[in-house]
This record gives sequence, structure tokens and C-alpha cells, in this order.
Amino acid sequence: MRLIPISAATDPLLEVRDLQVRIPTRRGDLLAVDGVDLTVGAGEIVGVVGESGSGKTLTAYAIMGLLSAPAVISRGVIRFRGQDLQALAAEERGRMRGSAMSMVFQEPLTALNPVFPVGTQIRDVIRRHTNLSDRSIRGRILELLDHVGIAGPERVAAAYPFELSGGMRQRILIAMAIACGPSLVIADEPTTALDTTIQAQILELLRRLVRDDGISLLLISHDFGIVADLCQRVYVMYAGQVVEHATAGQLFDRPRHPYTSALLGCMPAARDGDAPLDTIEGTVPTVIDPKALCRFADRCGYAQARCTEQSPPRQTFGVVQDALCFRAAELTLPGLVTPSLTDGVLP
Amino acid sequence: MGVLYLAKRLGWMLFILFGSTVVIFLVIHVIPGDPARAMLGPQGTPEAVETLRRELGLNDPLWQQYLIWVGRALTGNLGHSILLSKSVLELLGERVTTTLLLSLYALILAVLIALPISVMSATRRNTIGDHVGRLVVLIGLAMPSFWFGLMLMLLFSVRLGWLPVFGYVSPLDDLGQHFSHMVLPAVALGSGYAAMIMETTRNSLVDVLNQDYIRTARAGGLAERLVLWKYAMRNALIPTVTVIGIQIGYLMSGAIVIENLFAIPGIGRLMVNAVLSRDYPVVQGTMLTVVFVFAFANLCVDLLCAAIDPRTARE
Repeated sequence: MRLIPISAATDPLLEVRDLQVRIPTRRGDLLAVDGVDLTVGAGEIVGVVGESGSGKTLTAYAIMGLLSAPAVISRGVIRFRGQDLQALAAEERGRMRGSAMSMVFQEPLTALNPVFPVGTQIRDVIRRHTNLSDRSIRGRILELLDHVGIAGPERVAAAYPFELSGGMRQRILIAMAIACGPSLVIADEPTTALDTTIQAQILELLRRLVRDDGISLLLISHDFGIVADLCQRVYVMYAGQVVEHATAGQLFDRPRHPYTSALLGCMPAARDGDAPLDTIEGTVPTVIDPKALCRFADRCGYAQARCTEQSPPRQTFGVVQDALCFRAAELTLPGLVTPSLTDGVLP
Repeated sequence: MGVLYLAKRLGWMLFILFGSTVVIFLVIHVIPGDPARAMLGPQGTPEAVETLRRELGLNDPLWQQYLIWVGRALTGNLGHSILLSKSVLELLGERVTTTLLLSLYALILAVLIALPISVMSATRRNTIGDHVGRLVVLIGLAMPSFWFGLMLMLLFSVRLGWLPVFGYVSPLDDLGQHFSHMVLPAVALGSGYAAMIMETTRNSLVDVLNQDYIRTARAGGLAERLVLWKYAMRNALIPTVTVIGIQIGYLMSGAIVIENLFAIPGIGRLMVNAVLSRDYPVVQGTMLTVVFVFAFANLCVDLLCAAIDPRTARE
């Protein structure tokens, strides 16, 4: 694994500041994303982890400009290559989507249109962003399919999504995402719907694209294993907030937020081989009227009286790590202990 | 589109046609009483009844009668009208075109009205336009076509005098007159059909616009026009085409009512008159024609569906 390029933090490709996404409901406005700060440097792989409902996917949609009504960005700034995206006209934003920044989705079957051959779907994206002739586009499609590891590109380009396997479909979506040479790709749970063996291949493909094509990757996942494998820095999200931000190494060695520690405890390979897996009781709260408290307090094993009385401060540790917790400095939380060290497999 | 798929659909159509010939044939024999007696009425002498029975072959075993009837029908011989001095085929020939034209106009009208409104309704969900559109659909579905036809007739023909009250002019004689006679019947027949198409298309489009692949298309930066008319519409039309096909039966039964209301000499009018006067060969001939048109239209719809949705043909 590469070390964190510190320069990335000073001159980011993508910079999200104080992002808030509001969804009006009958009971009041739901704050699905509430005050998120996030950066992605050039050539970096950054992870966002959290349970369902933590706001990670909506953060991605907000960055892509894909939020659909009634969800709206109610606060915050999104800068891409130094440009304020919300200041752009819809037309300019559309030209950027699919070319400068693009996205890979979770469910590769439903993410592809069932009634068009996959080649046609890639072609329409290339046609939107370039002036290439139909013949050059055709060549480009075959080249792309080959690049994402598809054998027999001619045959596959003419196939319909239902004729391809899950792994193939995800490769097609990746080919579509990189078709116009983006500098940022957002991958939302790109391997969740796939078999384990296929998962590894897709992750390897993503890693290769970052290394060889100079793409930056924002990887959204609920799986710490994938994040540990791929990412340099990680944001842990809970109830619309970033509760901890750290390098992957720091996160696994010394998590500073009890939620991070609890999530790590839920990993099958996390603790002692014989010990039952930990679970986090309860569910992620939906935040409608934000009160001054720690949103994790009612599920936290380390909660104190002040946790439900005031908003916790963001405490910083070293250059990268910070956590949204009163007790971040005083607690020594269990991180990830690799099973090879504890279950005696190694001599 | 696979040859196998085509063969399957054709086989299915032949099966439906076969089944319906059995039903149509049996109808005559299932109704209580002797068909010959029924045809001749109370004045018929027993001798006359017996003669007619022999002429119609009613003394032969049922299966034999059926085979003879089907065999003749296959060669185009549907028998002679008992009342009118014409062969059934002759009677049908004059009227089938009229009914087909009426149904075609109603279909075209329905699609032309329904599609734009359903797209507007689906893309501007819960706006005033959407609510008005859906209210119109509700009214269209609730209104019986003969009543709506009567109202149209009263307003446009009787009160305003813009269009002829009833009757029919062949397009070969006078195209302008043909259309002016067909406008109101086509509107009356097409309105309920339009409502059904509208409701189906709106709902399927609303559903499709929420699908992941629409988000993928937007994530690729595609223009909203392309997303709607290509990526969404092609999917949304699958249920629409299916409904159009299923409801061709509705269109045919509607045509019977509307033809009688507007005094249009089509198959429906012929059928009703034949039923009323117990002209059995004509009844059988018209039913057979309607079934054939219905089965053929459904075959066309199946093939159209397979052309729109590749999954259908390669199950």
C-alpha cells in the first residue's frame, strides 16, 4: 500500500465543505447529510464507510449532481478542480457528468438499461462528450472493453445486459464510467452485489485504473475489508455526519470514535477466532430536528451524561485523524486485530 | 428475434383459432331448442323443420357436422345467409373493411391523445397538469362509449350541425365525406381506449423514471431529452403495447355498439342483426372473423413487444 500523499490534502481534486442535504417529509425536513467535509486528492483512493442510511450515497449523488427531488443541497460548497459546482449551469454540469467525473453503481443489473445492447449505452455517453465519428467511437468502445478485462469485446458490445454475468455487467459500467477519461470516479458499493471471487477481480481492476490511468477514486462501502484493502484515507459516516476521518492504518490500529471501533468489531475476521461477533444494537437514527447531542450516544457503550446534552467537538490527532467525540482522546478503543496474530495459524 | 419465438407465437395463434371454432360451432347446438325450429319460428310446420334439419345436416353426428363446417370455412365457404340472399363471405367482405377502418382510426386517435398526455403527466408528477390529465382518464374510463357517442352526436351533429348525424360513406366514393362520417364514431370508440393507454403509460413511465438505469444515463451526462425519449420511453412502452394488444377485444366489442349507434354498416351491425334474426351462418361467420382479427392483432403485438424488449424473445 502506498503512503498518503500529504500534498493531496492541500490541493485537492474534490473538496466538499459543510455539505447538507435536506429531504422534506411530512414530519419535517430530514437532514440526510449534515455538515460533511471531505476531500479527494489527485490519484488518491478515499473510502467512505457507514451503515445504510448514514448518508454516504446521498453525499455521492450531491457531488455528481444526481440528487433527485425532493432531496436538495441546503448548505455547503462542492469544489471540483477548484470550481464551485453549484455555481455551474445545468448544461455545464451535464457536460461534466460522465466525462470529468463519473460514477459506478451498486447493482450492475438494474444499473444498465435492459432494452439496449451495452455497446449502445457506452456509445451514447461517448457521443455526448466527444465529436468522434461513429467508427472511432466503435473502436474506442472495443478498446475500453478490452481495457476493463473483457474477452471478446465485439460479442459483448452487442449483448444485452441480461445476457451477461454480474461481474461482466460491472466491468461494462466501469468501462462506461472511464469512457471519457474522468479524473474522479465515485464507486458506490461496486462489489456488494457480486460473488466474492468476482469482488476481488473488480477491486483489482479499480486499483489498476487508479494506478495506470491517474484516476482518483471515491469508494463508498459498508465493508471495512474492502476499504482496508484499497483506500489510503477513510471517512466513517453516521447519521449524516462524518464521525471519524483517518488513514486506513490509523483507523484499524487506533480508532478514535466508538462507532468506528464498534463497526470494526462487526467484521467476521475482527477479533478472536472463537469469540462471537459483535453487533451494534439499534439502528441509525433519522435526523429531523437536530438536537445538540451526539447522534451515536444511545447506541454507544462509552456514553456519558454530556453526550446527550451537548454536541461533541471534533478532536484532531496528528496530521490526518479526527473524530467527533468527547472522549476521543481519553479512550483506548479496540481496533482491528488481524486473525493471523490471534488464532495461532502462524507459527 | 428468434425463429423459434415466431413459431411459438404462430402455433399459439393457431391453437386459439382452433379452440374458438369449436366454441363458435357449439354455440348453435348449446342454445336450447332446435336451431331449425328456432330459425323457422312458430309458424314452421314439422315437415319444413325436418327438411331444414336435413339441409343443414343437423341429423349427422356432431363431430361430423363440425368437420364439414370447418372444412368449408377453410376453403372460404361460410354458408349462405338465411335471411339475405347472399353468401356469408360476401356479406363479410363489404363490412370488414369498414369495421377495420373504424377501429384503426380509434386506435390512432387514442395513441395520439394518450402518449403526449401520459408523458406530461409522468414527468410533471403531482402538478396541476398531472391531476387534470388523470381526472380526464377517470372520466374517459367511467363513461360508457354509447353514451359518450350519443352526447357527441347531440352536440356536434344535432345542435351545432358540424358533422353528419349518422351513416357511412366509403373512402373510395368520397374521402372527405368518409372522414366527416367517421370522426365522431372514432372519438367515441377511442376515448375509453385512450384512457386505458394513458393510465398504463403514465404509471409505467413513472416507474421507469425511478429505475437505476435512468440514473446511470444521467450519470453519463446524457441530455434529459435523450434520457426520457430513448432510455425511459422504450421501457415504458412495453406495458403500453401489451395493453393495446389485450384491449383490442375491447375495441372490437366497442365497435359493435358504436356501429349500431351511428348506423355504420360494419361487422358489429351485421352481427347484431344476425343474432336478432337468428341468421346462424352469419352469426358464426362474423364471430369467426372477429376472432381471427383479434388473434392476428395479438400476434402482431407479440412480435412488436419482442422487437421492443429483447428479453421477451429470448426467454
